[in-house]
Amino acid sequence: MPNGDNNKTLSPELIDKIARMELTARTAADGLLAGMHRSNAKGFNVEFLEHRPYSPGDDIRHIDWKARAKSGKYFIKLREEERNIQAHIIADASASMDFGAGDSSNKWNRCALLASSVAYLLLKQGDAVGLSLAGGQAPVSRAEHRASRGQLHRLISILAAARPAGAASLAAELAACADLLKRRSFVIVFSDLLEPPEPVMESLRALRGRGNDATIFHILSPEETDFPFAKAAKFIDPESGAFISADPSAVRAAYIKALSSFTRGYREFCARMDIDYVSAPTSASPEETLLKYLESRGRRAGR
Amino acid sequence: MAFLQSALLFGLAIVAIPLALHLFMRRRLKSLPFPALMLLTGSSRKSMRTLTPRQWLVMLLRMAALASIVAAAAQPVIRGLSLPLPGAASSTTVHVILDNSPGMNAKHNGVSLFELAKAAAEKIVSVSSREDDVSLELACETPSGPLPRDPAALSDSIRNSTTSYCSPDLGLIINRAVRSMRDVRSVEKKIVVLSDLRRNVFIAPPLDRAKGDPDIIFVNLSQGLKVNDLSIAEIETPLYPSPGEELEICYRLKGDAPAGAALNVEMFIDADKRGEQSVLMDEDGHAEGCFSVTLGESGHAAGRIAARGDGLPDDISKRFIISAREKMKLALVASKESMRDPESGAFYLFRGLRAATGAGGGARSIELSTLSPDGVDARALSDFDAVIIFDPSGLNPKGLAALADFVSSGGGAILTASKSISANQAVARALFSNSISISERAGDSGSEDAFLTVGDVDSAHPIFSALSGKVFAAFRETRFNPHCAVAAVNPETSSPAAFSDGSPLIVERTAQGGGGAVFFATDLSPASTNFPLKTAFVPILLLAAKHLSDSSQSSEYEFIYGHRARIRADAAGAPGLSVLNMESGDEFTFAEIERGGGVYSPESGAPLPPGSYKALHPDDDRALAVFVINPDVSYKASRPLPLDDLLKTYKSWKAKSLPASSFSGSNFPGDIFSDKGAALWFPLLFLSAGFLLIETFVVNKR
Repeated sequence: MPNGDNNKTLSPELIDKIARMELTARTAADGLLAGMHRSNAKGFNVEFLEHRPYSPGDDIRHIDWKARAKSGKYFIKLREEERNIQAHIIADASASMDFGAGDSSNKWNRCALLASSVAYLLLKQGDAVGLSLAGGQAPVSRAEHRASRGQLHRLISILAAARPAGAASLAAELAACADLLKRRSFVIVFSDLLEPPEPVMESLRALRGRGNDATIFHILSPEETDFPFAKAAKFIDPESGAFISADPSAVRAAYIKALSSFTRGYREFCARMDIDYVSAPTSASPEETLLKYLESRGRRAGR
Repeated sequence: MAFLQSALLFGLAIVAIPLALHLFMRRRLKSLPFPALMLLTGSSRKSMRTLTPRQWLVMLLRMAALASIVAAAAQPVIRGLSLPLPGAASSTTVHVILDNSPGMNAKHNGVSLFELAKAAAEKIVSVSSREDDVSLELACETPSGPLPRDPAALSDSIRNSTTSYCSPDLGLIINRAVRSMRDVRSVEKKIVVLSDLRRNVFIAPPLDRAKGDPDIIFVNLSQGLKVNDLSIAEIETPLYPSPGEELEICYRLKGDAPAGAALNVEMFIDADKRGEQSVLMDEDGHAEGCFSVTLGESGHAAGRIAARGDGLPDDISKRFIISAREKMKLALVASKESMRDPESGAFYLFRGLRAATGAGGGARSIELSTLSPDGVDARALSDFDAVIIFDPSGLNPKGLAALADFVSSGGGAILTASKSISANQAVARALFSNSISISERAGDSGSEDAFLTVGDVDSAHPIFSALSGKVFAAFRETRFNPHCAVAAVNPETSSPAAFSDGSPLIVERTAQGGGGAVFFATDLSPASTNFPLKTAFVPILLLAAKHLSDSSQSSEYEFIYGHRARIRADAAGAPGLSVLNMESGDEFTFAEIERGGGVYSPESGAPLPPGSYKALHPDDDRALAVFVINPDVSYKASRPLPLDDLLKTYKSWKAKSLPASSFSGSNFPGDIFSDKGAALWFPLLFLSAGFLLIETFVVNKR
């Protein structure tokens, strides 16, 4: 996928790739759903209820008579409009995502697969799903929110055709997304978060401030989590081109510590902001990552 | 610190290898994409600080290890430090050159210089330690093999050594010792020259100093002697000796010996003392005397005259050679009237020649005859080797032509000028082929101012070279009032002597087939010159006759001492030299001769320097000792060098001079053995191993 065709027309290879991705996403999601019946709807189809004192002019059809019987007062029963939620997927397609040995370990491959899987789950329960790419090179980088049957294919086509490239600002994409979303939405971010955390957190805070729900899938490769290099090398940032010549044995401990501090910062921030933070290392299977996420989501909904 | 193998220090260049590898590997670091560089950056600041010094430390340790190995290979030693370290080389190698030339017999405070030198040499041997290596060389002895190095045996050799008659080239001996010590592995290398440094020659210039060459200590044993400059200035021998003739050999001493000092003078012929007499120095620093000796039938004798006295070295001597040639038949061409006329130069010429050649003696080597000028013809001239023609005006054209033929066929003709210019010009045409022009001299010939003295003289010319100093000085005082002026017009003619105005006094032309003619540009009448009254008169004419009649003979270097031998070399100085033993008649050729303990290889064209030689027969063990004292050879470097010049000459070898007194008593000079040393290669190898262990187990430990 990182090396996918950049043409706007879909090549046979791309079509095949999309089909395989779709199949993989469906298989992964269906497998999960088979054991997750109870928690499924709770997560995404919550009916919101509220009472307020009756005021003259209110439609008497909305008076909650049961409450009148219990309290002797008139309350208007405000009910959440009965419709599907709007979900928006932000996939980080910056050059830093094109990292990891092999197809399965490549961060962008994992990002696309997880995003497709989540989109499938959402679409399957009738939610409208949109997509935007942060950075990267793609014929189409944005998809409007729809719940149609062909939306999954559309989203996967965009992901399959995209190629990670350049430097992207996830913070900017989140801010743009916050402005773009007209109604409260469920924003799902797939990224390695390898950019200065403060702007990202600020954008997330703004997103949450507008009532949007959010989940972050933090995708990292084993090379990034374990720093297994042995020989001294010149480490190059694929986005900026900056480099550092270092002896891994000398910097490993400091790096692991820095990474730990970095992820802990996000975890703590997400916990404070009621955002789901999902660690999604490419070393773990996609099913494992999704299962962990859905369990976590279920626990939150149960609270 | 010194290095015994200092050349190996160039190997220190290999310490650059780790640095080069380090820089090379830095440049070749593998590039890896790494998205989380922002997290690495934070940690790398610290890591880069620790990484580089660690790598530098590793590199420095490796460089230090390599440097230690190279330094160990160069065998460093620390001077002045004596440690019980394994592998220590002998601390000091000392080569003692003991001058045993006769001059070392001079006594100072009742002790001869040679005894002082021997005591100093023995002291060097006795003070040396087990690690030191002391060797000895006698300057006047051709090494027949290595002298013992065992201290006890070496001391015996020193005690038993004696002076020997030679004139060693100390420069050559030093050079040889330097060469042999170059490869010696030792902390310090020194050459100690125990000599009076007075009459030694330093012919061989110092070698270019190379690393590892020894220092030189000149021990000046003559310091404090009262008489330092006494020499036999001159020996006069008969110019034309004959076999069996009783000869008078005279000498003149000159020097700074105090007036009234009694000197014992001895004369040796070959190795035998043939005379001894005592002379007193006068106030001018001179002393002179004569010995009488009968020349043997061989007609050849080589000897020396030596002076001895309190405080005088033994080598105040001068050699001489007497060699009678085959009988020469000489004719004086002059009219009988002129030979009887005291106003004529012929009067003096006839009597002088007769006295000098012993005409009438029969056995003398010169047979003098007289010829009248009109009797000169080819038949008459054929009986003679040379003719002296007083006033050629008496010669008729036929006689002149016969004289020209005589010269062309190898005869010698000596002519004095006539008052007749035309007669002189006829001589110029007939005998000099017009290569000289003769004209009447201008000016008032009768005035006192017209007299000329002797100007430039080629003292090396055979006519003058054999003259004693006194005789030559007498010639220089001669006054002339010549009637004619001679000018040489082409290079075929040479002028060995000139008047004070620069015009030729004597002109010479050598004929192609041998023989030649000499023309004196003055008549010999007492009115014109006082030359016939001078002691130089007859010798110069005789030497001219000898020179002209000898010109067909090949040049030789012929001098003999100890054995009666003759060394021949052709005029071009070809390297092949031949020795003729004049007693046995054996003759053999050799290409190399041993000289002063070294080998002398005559270079093409180079004269054989004066000195003592040992000629080796190419086929067997026969050897012949030969002294070359050819007085015609001037060899500039053969004169003794003043001590200051000597030290300057050997400056690059850190030469220094020590007084003999520094070797006596407790004042033995510490300079010779002060530089004890300890070899450091062993600890350096430990050090290099230590560096590598630290690098492996400490710095590179993870």
